Amino acid sequence: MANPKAKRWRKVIVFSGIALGLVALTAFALLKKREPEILVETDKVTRRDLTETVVANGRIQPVVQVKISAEVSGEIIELPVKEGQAVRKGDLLVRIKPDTYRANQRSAEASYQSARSGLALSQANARKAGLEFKRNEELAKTKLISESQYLEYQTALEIAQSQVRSSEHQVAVAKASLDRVEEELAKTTINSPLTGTVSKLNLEVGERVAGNTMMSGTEIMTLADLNQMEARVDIGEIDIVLIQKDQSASLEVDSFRDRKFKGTVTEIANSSKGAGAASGAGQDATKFEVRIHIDENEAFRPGMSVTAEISTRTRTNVLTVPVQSITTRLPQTNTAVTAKSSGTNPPATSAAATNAPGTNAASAKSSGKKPGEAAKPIEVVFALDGDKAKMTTVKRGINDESWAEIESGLKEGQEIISGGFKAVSRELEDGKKVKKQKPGMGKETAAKDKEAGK
Amino acid sequence: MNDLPPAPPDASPPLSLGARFTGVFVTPGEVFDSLKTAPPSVANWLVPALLFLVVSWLGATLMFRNPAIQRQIQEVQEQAIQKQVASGKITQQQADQITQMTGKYADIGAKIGGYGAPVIMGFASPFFWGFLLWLAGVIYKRPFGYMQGVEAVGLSNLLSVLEAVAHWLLVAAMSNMFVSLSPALFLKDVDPTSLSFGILSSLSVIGLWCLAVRAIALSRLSGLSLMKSAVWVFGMWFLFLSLGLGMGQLGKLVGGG
Repeated sequence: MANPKAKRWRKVIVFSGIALGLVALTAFALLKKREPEILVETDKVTRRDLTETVVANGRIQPVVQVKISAEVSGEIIELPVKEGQAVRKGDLLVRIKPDTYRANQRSAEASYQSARSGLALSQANARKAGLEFKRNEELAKTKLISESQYLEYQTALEIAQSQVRSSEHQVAVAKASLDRVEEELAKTTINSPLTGTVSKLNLEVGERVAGNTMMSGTEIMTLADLNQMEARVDIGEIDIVLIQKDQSASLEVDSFRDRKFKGTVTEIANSSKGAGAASGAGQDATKFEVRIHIDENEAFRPGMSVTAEISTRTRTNVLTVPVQSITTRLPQTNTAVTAKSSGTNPPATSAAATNAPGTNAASAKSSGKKPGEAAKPIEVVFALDGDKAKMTTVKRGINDESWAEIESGLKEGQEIISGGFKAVSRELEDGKKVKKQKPGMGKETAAKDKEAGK
Repeated sequence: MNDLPPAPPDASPPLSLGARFTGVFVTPGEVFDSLKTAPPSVANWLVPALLFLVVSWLGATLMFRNPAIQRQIQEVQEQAIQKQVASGKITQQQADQITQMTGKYADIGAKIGGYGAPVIMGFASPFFWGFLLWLAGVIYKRPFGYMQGVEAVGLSNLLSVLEAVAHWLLVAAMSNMFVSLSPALFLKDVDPTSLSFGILSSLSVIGLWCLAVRAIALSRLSGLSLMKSAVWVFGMWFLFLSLGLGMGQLGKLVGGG
């Protein structure tokens, strides 16, 4: 029979051991820092050729486009062209009723002839006055006529000569009027100034047009050379500085979805669209028009929608990461260096200031900047370091839709965190625990987490 | 071998329930000796079964509320499906469809297992292991009552209750439903379907202690030597463990894992 005392001691020891073990496990369970793991998607830093593009929308228009308008008023009596018809230079486009102008022309002609007749009469009178003056001059020399009589003949000659000059001016005026009226008559016939296509026809035979030589009259039609087309796109002020002449572009026309066309930048507007307009209308984004000549011929029509991708810069064989993996964070403050140099204890707020997106005042204080001067965010990429995220400052180069060039900060083959969006833009901090998940599972996991949190 | 002679019927005085419950941890031999002469008591196997059930359900409830555990369940399912894809049995598209369809059911399946398995383990194991102990007595011509075996196993299941408590505390601490107080705790990357994980996790400290107590129970009830009893109990355990692991690996092979 076992010693009861020994049995009791054994009991105490065994149960104490069990209790201690359970207490230790409980303490471990309660006190263990349960750092939540952030689910992330990863990618690798790879080398590739990169072309930076600026995408813009616009419309296709002909390079050469002429609006035909009337310079004289009247009724259209002949319109031998149709919309879409090809015309050659010199072809008749429009004939306006010339009757009034013909009448004016005849009237002006008559006035001109009358003026010429008047001139001839005054010239004859002048010759007569001259002859009489000469004859009486001789008589005056021999004192056969009085002084006053001599003066009368002299005056008569001068008057006759003046009348000749007056008549000459009247002839000139009448000629100018005649020329003007003849010009107006000529303007009742409008011929094509270029070889092209009638892209738009606004009026029909019988309609009236109002003409004006000082400014644009009624627009009758628009002629365009459809063999030379260009894309006119609007580019924002941020991207316009990247655009230069002769840059190549890839054009996607809505009407020709299965094809891409090549083009070249030919013209960049100096002023924005709507520049100089009242400031009340300034809520719209500032846009500059860029013209891109389309290198290929196709059955384009003016006004077709087009999307242009202009290749602005190209880099070959550069390190790249997915665009979505680059984010910004406030720079970490070096509190140890600050303490040494100032000889004081590091400020208590310094730890709180690091890695926090969007915090300004605390980090400004601790980084030794002047009060009120906020720390500027820096571009970073989170690299995967085992099961933790490592914040790495990067220097970014160019980027396209999907990839961004990394000039410094990362190595080829390095695994970096490229998603989810919330993790990269807000949740991740240097040293935080992460867990890799398959690409595309991010949405499913986020939805499930949301469901669990309800 | 030197088999012990059967103990005289009135050698050990009957113990109270509390004394039996505490004694099974400290002096199991005495407890099982008293069991031979004590009247049958349902409480000997029912109370430990109920305790085991309560502890297991509580632990399962806390576990399933942990988002990390939920993710782990999902990952296990996805890994199994991706193995099918890797072996060419199904396409990735089919795998994605299966994942979507069965996503909810994996969670339900885990919960059924988490809440259902303790019922079976708590109530069926005393009768199953009781049968094995009784069978040993028959084979070795040292018979004893079947229900005595059941009660003895039921009492040893108190150690399973302790093991369950320790297991759920570990799961809560490490947010991993596959941890146990075994050498598998030291594995870095846990693949719950691997053979090594299966072997190591079965070598639970408290689990082995429980088997040792059952061996003592067999020895005291039948009069067999402790060595023979231990060989029988551990041998049975090893047999069923091997069957279980073998079927698991066979299933993996068939499934293309």
